Order: sequence, then C-alpha cells, then structure tokens
Amino acid sequence: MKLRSIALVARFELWDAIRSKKALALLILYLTASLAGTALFIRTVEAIEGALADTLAVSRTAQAGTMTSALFQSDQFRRILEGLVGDGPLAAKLVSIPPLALFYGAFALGLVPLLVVLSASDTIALEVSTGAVRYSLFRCDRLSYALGKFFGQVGLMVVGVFTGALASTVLGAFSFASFDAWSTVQWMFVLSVRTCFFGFAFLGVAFLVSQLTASVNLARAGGILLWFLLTVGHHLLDIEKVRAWAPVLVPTVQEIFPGAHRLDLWRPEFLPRFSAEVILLGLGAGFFSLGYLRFARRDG
Amino acid sequence: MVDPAVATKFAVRAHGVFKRYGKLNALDGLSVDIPRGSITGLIGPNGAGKTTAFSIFAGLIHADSGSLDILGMGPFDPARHAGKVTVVPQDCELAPHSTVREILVHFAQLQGLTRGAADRDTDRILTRVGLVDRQRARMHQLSHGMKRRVAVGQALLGKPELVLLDEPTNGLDPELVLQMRELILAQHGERTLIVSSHNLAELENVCDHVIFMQKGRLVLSGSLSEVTQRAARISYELEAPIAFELPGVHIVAKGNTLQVEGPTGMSVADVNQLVIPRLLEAGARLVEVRPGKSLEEAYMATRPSS
Repeated sequence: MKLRSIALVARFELWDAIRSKKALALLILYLTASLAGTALFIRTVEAIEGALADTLAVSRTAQAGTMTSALFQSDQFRRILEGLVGDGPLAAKLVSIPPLALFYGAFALGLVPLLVVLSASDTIALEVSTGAVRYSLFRCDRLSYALGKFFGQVGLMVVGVFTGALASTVLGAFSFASFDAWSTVQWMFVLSVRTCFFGFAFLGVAFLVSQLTASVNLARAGGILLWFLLTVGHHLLDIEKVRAWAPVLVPTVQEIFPGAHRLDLWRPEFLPRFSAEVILLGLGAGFFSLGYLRFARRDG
Repeated sequence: MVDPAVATKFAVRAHGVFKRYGKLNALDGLSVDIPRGSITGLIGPNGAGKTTAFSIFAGLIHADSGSLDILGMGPFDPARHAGKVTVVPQDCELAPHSTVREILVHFAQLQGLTRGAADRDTDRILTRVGLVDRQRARMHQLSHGMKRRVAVGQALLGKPELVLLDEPTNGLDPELVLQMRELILAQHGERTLIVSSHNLAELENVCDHVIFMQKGRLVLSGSLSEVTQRAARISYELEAPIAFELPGVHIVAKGNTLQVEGPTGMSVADVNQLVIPRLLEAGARLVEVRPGKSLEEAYMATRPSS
C-alpha cells in the first residue's frame, strides 16, 4: 500500500466524480433539498410566529426570526424535542443550538447516508465491468486503488455536506430577522463534520457492495437494500419486545448499525460523542474491509 | 532464485500455468519463454487463452497454478513491476468524463513519475500518438480510433520494459493500422512487446518472434523465420503453371505456385541463384518470390483439420 497512490487515485476519483453527471446530479439534488428544506423550515417558523402574534394580539412581522429565540427556548419546544430524541437532558441542551443549524444537522444526518450510498455503491463495480480498473491495477496495488476510490468519495461527500450547509446558512442569513451569524456558522460547521462521520460508515457499506460484485445494477441495488436494512433494522431492534427477546444479543448486534450511534453525535459531552465518531469510523473501515477481502482476490 | 543469465535473456517465462473458469480451462498448462527485446506475436483462435495469458502476465488475474517470471522479478507485483510492465487491454474503457491529458498525467504519476515528469512525458506521448490537438477533449467525445490511440499511448508512458498489446488495431481504419504498426516498430530494441492480433498479415510485418496458442496451450513458438521456414522454403508465384524439375531440389507444384525446398545449408539467396535462371530459361513468367510460408500458412498448418 502506498499513500501517494491512494492520494493520486482519490484526487482523480473526486474530479472524475464531480464531472460525471450522476454525482453532479446527486450533489445538485442534495443542494436543492437543503435549500428547499431550509426554506420550508423558515416558512414553518414564520407561520408559528404569525400564530403566536395573533394569539398575543400583536402585529405580525414581515420576516421570520423576530420571536425565534423565545420560541425555541420555550418549554413547549423543549418537550417536542424531547419526544423526538427520547432523552430529556439532551433535549434541554439541544435548544441552545441555533435553530437553523439544528434543522440542518437533523436534515443532513437523515439524507446524507442515502445519497452517499446512491453515489458510491457502483464506484468499483463500474470500473470492473467496463475494464477501466485494468489501467490502474498494473500501476498500483489493489488496496491503494480501492482506498483511493474510497477517499475520493469521502471527498465528494465532504464537498456536498459543506456546500449544503453553506447554501442553507446563506438562505437563513437573508431570511431570518434575528440571525446569529457567528453561532450559526460555527454550529453548521460542527454538525457538518459530525454528519461526515455518520456518512463515513455508510460509505463503507457502499464500498462493501461495490467490491463484492462486477455488476453495476447489483451493486446499486445492494447498496440501497443495505442502507434500508441498516436504517429500518436499527429502529426495529429498538422495539421493546425485540429487546426483551434477547436483552444481551440485540443491543450487541445493534452496535454494528450506524443509526445506533447517531444520537451520540448530538451530545455536548466529549466522551460519548468521540466514542460514537470512532465507532462510526470503525464501522466504515470494517464494511470496506469486508468488501476488500473479495476484491483482493477477484480477477480484475 | 532466478538465474540472472536466464532472467536477462527472457522478458516472460511461464511454465505450467493453469487458469480455470468453472469447467473451462482458459489456460491448460501454458509454457512460454518470450525473448527480451523482441516483438512477439501471440496468435490463436478466439478462446485460445491469449487475453487470459496477458491478464496473468500483468497481474490483472490470478493463475490457479504454475510458475511465472516477469522481467526476472518473479510473478507480477505492482511494488516491483509498476512502470516496467504496461498493458493495452482489449475492449476496456477509460474514464469517460476526464480529458485525454488528465488521464495520461494521472497514469504517469501513478506509475511513479513526478508531476513535472508526468507532464513532459504526456506531451511526448501526445505527439507520438498524434493527439496534441485533442488533449483537452473528454474521452467520451473521442472516436473509437482516437480512444485506441490513447489506450496505446498510456502503455508507452515512462520507460516500460514490457508492453502487452491485446488486439491494438481492433476496429481501426487502414491508416490508423499503419500508424499503429509504425508505433510498434519504433519500440523495437527499446523494450519487449507482446502483440495479440487476428490480423496475421499485420503481425508478420512487425513481429520477430511468434507464439501459437490453442485451447490454453502452447502449440508452436519460435522466431518468425523459424516458424515460417524462411530459410528452408521459397514459393515462386508464376503467371501460368509449368512443369519444372531441378536435380537435388525438392519442388512441389500447387497451381501457379512452385514451392521449393533448397538443400540443407543453402541460404535463400543461394536457392534463388540456382532456381530463378532455370525457371526463366524454361519459359516461366515470374510474378512473385516469397521466402517460406506466410504466417497465415504456418498458423493454419498447426490447426486441427476440420
């Protein structure tokens, strides 16, 4: 394995992926979804503030954000948040995050895994099926090639997540009356980084399927299926009856589901968050390695 | 441990190489020795195992068993052979959205060149394959012939010692076939080339060593002159058949062609000195003189009769 070869393949993969219509379409899709989601969030806040203004018999404001701070610090909002995360103390801490960043973090953690799997599942399978891989395999070892492709897709994911965050921040800056720019930018950055950790685990899943098969269609289908199983499966394992059936096995198995560590990414305490990030990196590396066991032996 | 004397003499040594796909023996104990510095033609029908052999030589696929030595450094390993062995694979696509220049620079760097050296070498290759004016074009914008030129060009990046060309002229127009031939011939002496092709006439123009394969095995191997028996047999193409005999010379008449096998030890020139004046005296109108069999004839002689 050579670091230089990994870097070269990663750089070429990133540029080639950005130029490919598929990756570009997914990037634009994510950007559009980020902006649309942010706009919807702003409209929702506007509607809530309008309803509040009517209740208090005061005039409505032209722009959302005049009552946002009070709104998000309210007990009602904290209870809503508690219901969503299932953790009272955590919900109490989350209300201190700027609302736009809170929204973008939840949005990104939900959508990025699917987009990453859609973008990356056929990366190596496509090159094996077209024979393009042959031009690289007599120039560098298979591990450097596969890791280079992987980190190229990591780069693409990072570009997408941060571009979405930037777009949402800009939209929020123009749309919110009381926009705390510095705090929002900081939290957007922090939550984007945490989203990348979460996405990393799913990139490992994508490369697991991509290295297992030379069929592009099978790789794409396998990626989506695994994403679905990991996303839904995690929630199924959370059901009381399921946990009661095997109280030791189920939580243990759940550890290999990236979703089991998602909530810890929101924690303000360093240790649980750091542990979650390390586990997610480990899961990504583990899924990748499982696929590599096959790719290392397959005929190129 | 490879004998250094042997290692320097041969670019590829394969012995008893087997490769099986299910019930099919793609390579069935292939044993070949390919001389260094030669341009070797690898010839065989579809399914003979030529592409499989190439892929194993270049480490793209794994042999099931057998021994292999590439450039005296053992079986292919990118750590040892990157930059020394290059391949023009058959029917393999290059990254469609990248430009010609980007692809060549990337491959040059991947096989060990610095960025500056990769840029300079890319300029050299673009000139060599005639794609300077298309270097900023994306691969999907190129014609089949241009893509093939890029494929050949990437195999000449750096200073490879062994180049494997799998059907390099496949689908090319005659002008491009000629350019490819000149490109291949220009490598003679600088490196070892192994060329696989169905175009035997084309191979006859470029190769000095040939290997015939069938069903994953070696059938015949040797220099072009040995395989086509150039020193031993000469064909005289006449305008019309005549009855002709010469003491001490074995002559077989086949239609308008007289196949003459000269006495042992006689060169082609000596046989011509002996035969041609007497043919002309006998009233023959000579159209063409061809030493030995054609490569096509030599190849067909090894095929099982249908």
